[in-house]
Amino acid sequence: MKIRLKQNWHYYLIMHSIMVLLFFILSSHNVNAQEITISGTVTDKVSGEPLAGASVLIKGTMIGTATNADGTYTLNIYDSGVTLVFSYIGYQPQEILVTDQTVIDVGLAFIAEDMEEIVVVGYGVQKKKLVTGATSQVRNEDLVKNNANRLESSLQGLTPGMIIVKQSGQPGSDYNISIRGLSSPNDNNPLVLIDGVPGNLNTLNPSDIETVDVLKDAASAAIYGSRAANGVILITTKKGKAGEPQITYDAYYGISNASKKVDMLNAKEYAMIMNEASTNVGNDPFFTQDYIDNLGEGTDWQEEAYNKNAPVQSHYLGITGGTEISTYSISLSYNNEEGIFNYEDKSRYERIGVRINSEHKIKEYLKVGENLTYTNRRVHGLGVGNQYNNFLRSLIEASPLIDVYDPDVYDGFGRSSFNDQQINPIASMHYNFNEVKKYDDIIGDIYAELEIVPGLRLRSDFGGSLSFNHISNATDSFILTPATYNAIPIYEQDMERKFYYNIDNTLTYETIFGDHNILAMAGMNIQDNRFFKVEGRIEGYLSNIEPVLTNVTTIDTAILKGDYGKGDSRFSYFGRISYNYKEKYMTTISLRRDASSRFGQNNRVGYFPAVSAGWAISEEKFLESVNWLNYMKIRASWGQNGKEPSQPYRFLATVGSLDRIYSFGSGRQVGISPDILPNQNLKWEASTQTNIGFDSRFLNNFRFTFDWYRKNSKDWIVPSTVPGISGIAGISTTNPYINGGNVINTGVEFELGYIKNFGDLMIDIRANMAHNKNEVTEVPGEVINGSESVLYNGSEEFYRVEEGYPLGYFWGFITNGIFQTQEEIDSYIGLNNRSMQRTADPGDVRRVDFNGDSVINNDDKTMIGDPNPDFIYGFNVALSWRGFDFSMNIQGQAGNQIVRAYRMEERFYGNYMTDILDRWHWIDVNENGIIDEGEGTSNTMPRVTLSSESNQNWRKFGDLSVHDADFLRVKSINIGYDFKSLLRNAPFQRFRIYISATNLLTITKYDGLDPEVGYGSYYDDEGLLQDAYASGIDIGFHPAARTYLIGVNVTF
Amino acid sequence: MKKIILLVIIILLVLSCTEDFTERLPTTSSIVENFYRTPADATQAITSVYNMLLHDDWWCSMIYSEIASDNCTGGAGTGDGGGFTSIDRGMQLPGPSVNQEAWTFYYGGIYRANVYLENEELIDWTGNEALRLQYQAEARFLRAYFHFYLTRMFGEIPALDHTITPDDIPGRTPAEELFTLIMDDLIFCAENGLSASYDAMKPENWGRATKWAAEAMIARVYMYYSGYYNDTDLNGFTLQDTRSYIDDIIINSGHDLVPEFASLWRVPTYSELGGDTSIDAYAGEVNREVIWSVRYNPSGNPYNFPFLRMIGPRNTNIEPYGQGWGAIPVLPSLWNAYDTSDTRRTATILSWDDEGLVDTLLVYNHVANQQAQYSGYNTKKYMLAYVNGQREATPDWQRDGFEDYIIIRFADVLLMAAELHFITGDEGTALGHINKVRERAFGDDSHNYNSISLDDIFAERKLELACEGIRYWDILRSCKGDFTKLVDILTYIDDTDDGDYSNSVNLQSLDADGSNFVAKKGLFPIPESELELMEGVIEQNSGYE
Repeated sequence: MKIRLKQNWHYYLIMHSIMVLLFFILSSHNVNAQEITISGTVTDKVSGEPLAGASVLIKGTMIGTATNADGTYTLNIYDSGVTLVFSYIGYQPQEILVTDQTVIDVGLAFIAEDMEEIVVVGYGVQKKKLVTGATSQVRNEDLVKNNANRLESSLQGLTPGMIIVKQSGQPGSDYNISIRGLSSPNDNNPLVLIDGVPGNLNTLNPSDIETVDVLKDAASAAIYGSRAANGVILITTKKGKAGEPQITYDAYYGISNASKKVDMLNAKEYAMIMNEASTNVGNDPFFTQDYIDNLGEGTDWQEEAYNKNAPVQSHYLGITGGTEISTYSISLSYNNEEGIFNYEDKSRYERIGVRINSEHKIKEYLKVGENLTYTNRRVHGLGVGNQYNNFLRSLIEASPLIDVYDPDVYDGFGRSSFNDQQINPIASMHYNFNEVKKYDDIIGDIYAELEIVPGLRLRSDFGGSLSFNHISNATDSFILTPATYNAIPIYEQDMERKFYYNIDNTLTYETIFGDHNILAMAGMNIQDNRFFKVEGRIEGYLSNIEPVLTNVTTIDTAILKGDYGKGDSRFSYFGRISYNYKEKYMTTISLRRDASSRFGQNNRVGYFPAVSAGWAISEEKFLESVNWLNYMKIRASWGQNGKEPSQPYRFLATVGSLDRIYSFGSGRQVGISPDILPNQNLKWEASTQTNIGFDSRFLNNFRFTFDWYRKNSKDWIVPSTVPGISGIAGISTTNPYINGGNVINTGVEFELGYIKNFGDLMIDIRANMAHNKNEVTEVPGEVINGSESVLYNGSEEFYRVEEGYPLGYFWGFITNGIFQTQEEIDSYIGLNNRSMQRTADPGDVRRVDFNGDSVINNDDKTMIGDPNPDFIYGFNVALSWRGFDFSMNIQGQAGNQIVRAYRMEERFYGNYMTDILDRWHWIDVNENGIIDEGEGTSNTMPRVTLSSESNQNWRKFGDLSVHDADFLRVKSINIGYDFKSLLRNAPFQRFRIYISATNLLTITKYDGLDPEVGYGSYYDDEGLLQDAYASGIDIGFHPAARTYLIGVNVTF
Repeated sequence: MKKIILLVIIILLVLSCTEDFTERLPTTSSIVENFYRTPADATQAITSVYNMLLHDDWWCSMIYSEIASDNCTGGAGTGDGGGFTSIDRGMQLPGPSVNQEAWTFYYGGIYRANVYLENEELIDWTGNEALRLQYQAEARFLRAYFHFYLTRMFGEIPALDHTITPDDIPGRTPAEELFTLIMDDLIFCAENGLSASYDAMKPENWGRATKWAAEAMIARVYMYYSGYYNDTDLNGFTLQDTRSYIDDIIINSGHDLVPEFASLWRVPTYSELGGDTSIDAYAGEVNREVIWSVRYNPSGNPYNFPFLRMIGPRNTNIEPYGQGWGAIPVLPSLWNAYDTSDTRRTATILSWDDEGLVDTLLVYNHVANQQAQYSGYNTKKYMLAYVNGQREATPDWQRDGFEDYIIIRFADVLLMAAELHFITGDEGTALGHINKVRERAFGDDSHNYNSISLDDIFAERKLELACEGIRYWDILRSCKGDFTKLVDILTYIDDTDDGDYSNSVNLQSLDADGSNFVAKKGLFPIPESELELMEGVIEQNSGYE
């Protein structure tokens, strides 16, 4: 029954295009010029030591060579008049015009090279040396090392203070990103700007990215004002450069496998435990010993759905080039990935991307250009959501007694003969999860830059995005159990179009007088969002052809819904002045004024100021004699940012008709009433952050960056809890949104780097670590309650927001072992001398009377875990030697917990993990043939029951369900060889072949599927994000795949 | 020059945009300030008030009435945490949000009624003055209904004749003032509501609060007030006033009994009248006997009556009985209270034993299905139907509770009239009314009364209206303020012959101790979470501190 579908047409189309392009490119590459041979030695200017592996390139091209162990090189050029660029890590590059020399010796000066790099800041760029805020930059070469189809995954472990956790390990799933801790109970994902346009990281191919700049502190981000409270990620896609066209082809193919399965009971163990559960509550056993003795392993459901060697592949073809007038960068990419759990090809992610960036110098004073990316994504996934829609959960807890297939059943799938409520999860996968989502995204901008007078530039940028989402879903009729079935086939077809545009106009003036350097920028920005959507749902019998809404034999239950409108709009002014004196003292002041349609007249406008300063202390006279210190800059910054409500019209008293019908006679009448109590005073969530840090370079090869921050985020936009008596707490009428609450994030970040050449061997080691403490200091209405029924039907609330604790902390009972005997229960007394758990039986869990009032109730629940890590860290090593390269990326986190619930605890028949074998249990028979005590059988795992024990061992939420989630993960290892080192004269600049492993090793004590659990928040029926602060909940979390792949990087 | 032209163009572009750009109101939805304009808007607005009738959930009045009374017990699953059994035993219920739905939704209904009444004056009613009065009458009827359902559960609750803001919470309203507001609203509806008789009522008005519904509700409210608070003078409104309203229904409304008792509900129609395949005998949701009902809806509608999905056999479909949660099982004492020739017995109660469904536990295995408090009897009147291997309506039995909930039917009117006439000394009229009910129940006059007592009328109400959400409130009003009477009425011990079911899972005893209800005066606790939000303005009912 296991089917692997053929590659679909996308694959052929894209691969065909890539191959044809490659062919033309290769065949057109010819050489016809007179060769000149140049040779020389590259040395350290001061010590005179030869520099091995220094690069010698013809300017504007990738044509060139590298120096040998003795620092010498030879290079053939085809024309004099070119400029050679000599560069070496840690040294100031040097350019030399070739006229008639044949020997060029160069002495390079050591500098804190990376401080000269340009980083992207809001509405501009800045030399890293002059940055006074806390920002991090990740470059393309580091991104692609992780060989991930997803940019989010590529970024993991590279930036201190940025937590990136997958919502699920299934291909196509999204990631949660937070920077420097959660700043409110609302969405904490940072603002992502792709070439200045708000976008989604999941539309991007890592190979297309030039740099990712993360603005972490408030001062850096404040130029984006109302959208910047969660930090800002600035994506710059690859741009063209003047010079020879450069063609890049990157591809890999790999296979993925599960790195771990959960150990579940086999058939024999399962039957034994079920019997014990029954006899433990005084019932007869379900199965005879004879029946159990004849059982084997039973069905291993995870194995049944396991997609061994799931293929993953990626192709990327990029061309960059240009002249002094025009430059361009275009690319075509294709990714295709199958899930490591798959059935009937229902877990697959495909992405096609096309990018065109170009820039043209129309006049000496006028530049125009555009960036444009089109992405097509197709996501077909198995349900990885809540307890009702999670295939892994179903697999894990399914009974091993059920046969996967049974030819005697009408549909060929086995059914449970033990309990007719039990679901065959493979049959469920067959009938469900037919939803296919297709996304088309176009994002880009077109801009013009006018130099009015030297130093004064006006830039006008029109950016936008257009997204189409299409979802189709057909569910046939089926019966899995008497209670789980679909009586009438359902077909759904939804379509949504979102259009966004922004216009940015900025005026920049840069001037130098003496040692004073001033850069001033002023600008305005408008943004506009619109949407259109239709949703169709029809019940009826599907015809044999591909179902669409009209191919269904309908019964009269069609539902057609639609809406369109202007989502929101913003209008802003902003300005920034940066000043530095000799690049030694520097300061930046910025201010943004935002007006947003998401607020009422009273608070529509917000101001977001920031100030920062830096002092390059190493440039001072008194440190000149400190030789080991190459560079040191101390930074301090302060700024304020805002966060808007996640939905428009939160401040208005809208009236609505949703769910308000009533039937008079035979007809239904639509009702209308207020949706929400208005709050015209609703205002921004305000986040104020102070940052102090330094950047240093020392002992020539080391660099160290440190930041300390304190982020105070208040005035969260939350629904107030108003008394039900006011009527507005009724159904379909939402409580008014109010501002309230405060959370303080305090943390430190370190980044340590070491880079050095030992002859041909280049070593680049980087480590980063961040610590964050999240503490809520104020909550409107004392507590923001988490949802119930998250772990299973009727499960208690177990995460919440409360003063004195981290956002979303785990709230439950502390337990203290297992009651071994009735005497222990009887003697577990409070002040009134009554047993505090008198309804417990031996083998039940003992709960701690935390508040000491002699009664064990919800008042004894307290913090028993925190989903927010205390520490996150990354460790990256890169080595290269004569064409060989090696890199390794390690990431990890510590100090956070996971709540795990794989069973539907309200029912007794779900399968258990094998750790249940260590449960407390009655020892059957002693040597005298007498039923013996169970004392001492376990003090950690309670007895099994039919979920009906009055003590509710699992259902009263406690630390039994909480597990440490610390982990260290070898995220990627790459070993490659560049054949250019071997074939110096080959017609390519690079021909690297590599092998790679991702998620090779995870060291953790967590015995669930994967310790990196981003699941927690969820989308409600109306598509609104709920409990955005919740995470670390494992109810069957799709694990990350372990992937081995082989790849090639070719550059012509 | 070119530079300057470009610059000017850009500057003009910048300046042409102003902050009005951020003035953005919804285009596809309205806001309160501009919605109430035409009578069509009024129709939609009044509909939203009716909609609040559909939100009774888990802890709704009907479930309370049956479980807490001597009709039924809690039941449900062995692992369900005992909420229902706590109601049965008059115990403190688990959790701070217990009764949240009842409290919130009934006050939500009051809010929507008040929103309507406060905004309807914005509407241009020219030429539609009669409709305006009718809608006012309906809004006030519903406001009275919600107040009445709240006060029966929670006692003296704040009466609201206007919308309030969250920081302006009033304290409790004394009973007489509260019931006066309720009565004023109902009298307004009795005078201005739709007054066509049953046969003349336009089909599109079915479900609306009519003059007749208001008059019947006046009787129910008055009789509850005078009984529970032992005060026959409700701010000048008397027994005689009430009797004239109830007589008006009997004489003028056109409502009457339907011939067959069992035909009032779907499943009893199947089991008692129609066999497995025919439902021709079903009187339908709209019939002569229904004075007023809450109109639930089949498929496509998220609302359904939770009582229906609660009462069916747990995890099992046995034609014509559709699956439910096995909650609210009937006590053997109720089954035994019926005469064997009373057609109401088998129409009201499913007896597993008597219907031959016990012999083979293959049919209904309450042990395997984790049925708590299995008594051998389920309530049948509102059970979900499962016929010809199929459920009715939606594919989801949890949402199949589309059958209308009859709030007041004509039999209740007759019995209230009998009671009112009996108290006012007119036993002859009272006998006529009660015997009319009994004649239908027994099919002939062989069981008619020749003389009656008040107890007989209450006993008849118990049998006729069992499992319809009436009984517990009848018990409370019968106390006349002396709640020690609850000790006898609500105390019962398990007298089931459970020999056949001895291997059941956690067969919790059916025993209940009525003395738990006395200090509480039969009331239920206001949700603790709501008391906290009201910041001490209102204190918890006595007995729940």
